[in-house]
Amino acid sequence: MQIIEILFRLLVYPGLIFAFLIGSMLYWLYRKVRARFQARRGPPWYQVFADIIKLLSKETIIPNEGKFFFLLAPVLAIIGCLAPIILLPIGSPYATVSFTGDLIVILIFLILSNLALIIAGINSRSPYKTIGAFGEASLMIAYELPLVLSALTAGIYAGNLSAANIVQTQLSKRAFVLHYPLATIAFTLCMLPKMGKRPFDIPEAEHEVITGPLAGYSGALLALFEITSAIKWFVIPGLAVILFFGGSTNIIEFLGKCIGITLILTLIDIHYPRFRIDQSFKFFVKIALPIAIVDFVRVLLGW
Amino acid sequence: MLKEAAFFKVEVKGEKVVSADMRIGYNHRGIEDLATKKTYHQNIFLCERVCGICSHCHSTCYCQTIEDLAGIEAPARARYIRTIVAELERLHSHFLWFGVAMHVIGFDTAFMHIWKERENIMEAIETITGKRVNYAVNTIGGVRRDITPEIIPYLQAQLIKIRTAATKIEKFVTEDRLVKARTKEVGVLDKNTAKKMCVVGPTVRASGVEQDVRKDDPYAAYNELDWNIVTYSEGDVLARVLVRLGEIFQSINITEQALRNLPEGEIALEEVQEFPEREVFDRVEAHRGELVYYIRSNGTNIPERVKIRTPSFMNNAALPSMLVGESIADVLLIVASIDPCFSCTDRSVMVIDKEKNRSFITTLEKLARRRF
Repeated sequence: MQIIEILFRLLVYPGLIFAFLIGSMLYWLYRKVRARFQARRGPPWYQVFADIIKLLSKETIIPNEGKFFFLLAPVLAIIGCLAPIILLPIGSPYATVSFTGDLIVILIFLILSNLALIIAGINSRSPYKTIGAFGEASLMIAYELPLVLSALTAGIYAGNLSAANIVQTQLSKRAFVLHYPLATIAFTLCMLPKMGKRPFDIPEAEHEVITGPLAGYSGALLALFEITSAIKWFVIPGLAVILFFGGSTNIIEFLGKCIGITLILTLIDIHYPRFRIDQSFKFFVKIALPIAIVDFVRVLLGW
Repeated sequence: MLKEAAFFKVEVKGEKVVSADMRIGYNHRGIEDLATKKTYHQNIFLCERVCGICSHCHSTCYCQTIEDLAGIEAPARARYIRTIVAELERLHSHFLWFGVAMHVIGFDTAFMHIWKERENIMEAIETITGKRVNYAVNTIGGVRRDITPEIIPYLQAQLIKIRTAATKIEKFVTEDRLVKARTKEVGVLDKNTAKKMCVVGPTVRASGVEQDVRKDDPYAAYNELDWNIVTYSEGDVLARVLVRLGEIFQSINITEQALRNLPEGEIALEEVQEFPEREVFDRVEAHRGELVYYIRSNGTNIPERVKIRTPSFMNNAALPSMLVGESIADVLLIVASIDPCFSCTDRSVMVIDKEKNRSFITTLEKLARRRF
C-alpha cells in the first residue's frame, strides 16, 4: 500500500505530472512577463506543451558512438529534478518521505541534474558542447558552495537537516527570510545559474556556444530536457519557499509563494546582460559566498 | 562562430584565444562581373542590392561615380535628399547594430527596445522613399523621388522621437556598469595597428584617427552643413559603441539641418546618354566606413570594369589582431563590434588536431556525431 502511495506521489501529485503542469505554467509566466517587459507579445499559455508535442513527433537522432552517455544525460537530468519532490514538503508541513538529513539528498539530486548537462557536453567532440560543458562545470564550482552553505544555515537553525522539520520550525516561529536575510539573498542569487538564467546563462549562451551542451539533441531526448527545465521552474523556487519563505500549510499558499519567487527571478533576468565566465566566478566568490558565510557563522554562534 | 559567411578559425587554450585567423569568399555572388553585362542605368539597381543595410550608400556611390564619368553634377535639392536618406539609413543601421551588440552580450531587453525604436526611422524612410530596404531613390544625375512639403513636419516629429530614444540608449550605455564591464578594454585596436591595417569608419575613429569621407572628400550636401567627426582614443569595444552613439546624434543633427535648408529646384537632370572612355573612382562614407567604386568605361553604354571595395573588407582584416588574448566569450562581441557585413550562411567548421598535425573541414552536424 505504501509503495503505491509513494509511486502516486512520485508520478502524479506532487510528482511528475503535477510538477510538470505547474512548472510549465511558471515557465510560461517567466516568458510572458519577460516578453511584456521587452515590448513583445509573448507566447500563449500552452507554448511549452506545444513545443513538447512537436519534439515528440520529430525524429530522434542518436550518434553511433558515445551512445550510452548521450542517452544517459537527459535521463539523469529528469531524475535529478524529480526525485527531490518526494522529499519536499509541498503544500503541507509533511513530506512523503522524510528522514534526518534529507536536505542533503535533495541538494545532491539537484546537482545531478546540472551534472547531466556536463555529461551531455563533455561526451561530444562538438566545440560548442564542450565549451558549454566547461562553462557549466566552472560555474558549478562557483555557485554550489554558497548555495549549500545557505541551505545548511536554514537546516542548522531548525536543528535537523530535514526539509519537513525546517518547514515545521518556520511555521511555529517565523520565516527564515526574516532571521537570515543574507542567506536568503545568497540562495536566490545561486538559483539563477542553477536554472540557467541571466546574468549567469553562460553554458547555454546562444551566441557564444549556440545552445551549449544541448546542441545535437533532437526529438524525444530534447523533449526530456524541455520537461526537465519546466520541472526545474517548480522544484527550485519550491525549495526556496521551503527553506526560507516559511513553507506552507496548503497548496494554494505554496503556489502563491512560488509565483512570487518566479517574478523575482524574472525581474533579475530581464534587467541584466550576461556575465562573462570569469566575471560570474568573481561575483559568486566575492559577493555571494561571503554573505552566505556571514549568516552561516551567525547560525553556528546561535545569534 | 557567426551567422554570416565568414569563417573565423579561433585557437583557444582554456578560455583564452591564442591565435585567430579568418577566411572570406564563401558568398561570392559575382556582382562585379554581372555589372559588366548590364547598362549603366540597370546597374543602379544592381549596386543597390550589394547590401541590404547600406543599399543607399552603394547606389549613391555608384551614381556619383557615373556622374564623374559623364562630367555632370546633381542639382542641389537632389544632393540634399541624398544626404537626408543616407543619414536616416545610417541611423537605422546604427540602431540595428546597437540592438545586435546588446543581444550578443545577452541583454535582450535592451535589444528588443532598441529595435522597437528603430521602427520610427524605418517609417520615416518609408514615408520618403516608399520602401524599407533598397529605396531606389538615386538615379544618375539626381534622385527619383522628391520630399514634398507635407511630409517634412512628420519627419521632424519622427526625428524628435529618435532623439529621445538615442538619449535613452546613451543613458544606459554610459551608466550601466554591466555593459561597461563587458565592453571596456576588450578587443583593443591601437592607433598604429589601425592605420597599418587601413581600418576605416567607426572602427578607426574609435582608435583615435580622425577620418571620415564626409569631411575629407565632401560629397552630397555634407560641406554645406554643420557637424563634427566623433572620435575616441581608447580603441576598445566601448569606444566603438560610443563613436556610434555620437554618430547617431550627429546624424539626427545633419538630417534636421538638411530638412530645414532644403533648397528649391529640380531633383534630377536630363537623362545622360553619352559615356566617354575614361577611368573614374569615387567614394562615400558608408555606415561601416569608406566605400569605394572604381569604374572603367569603353565608350559604350556598358561599363568595362566595376570594382567595389566595401568597408567591412578592410575592417575584417584587422579582426584577428583584436581577437588574440581575449576570452572566448568576447570573440563574438569583438567580431560584432566592427559591424561586419557579410551576406549569407555558412556552417563549416575546421577541426585541427595540433598534436597529430592533421586537419579537415566538416559541417557542425557531422562533427557532433563523430568521434575520433
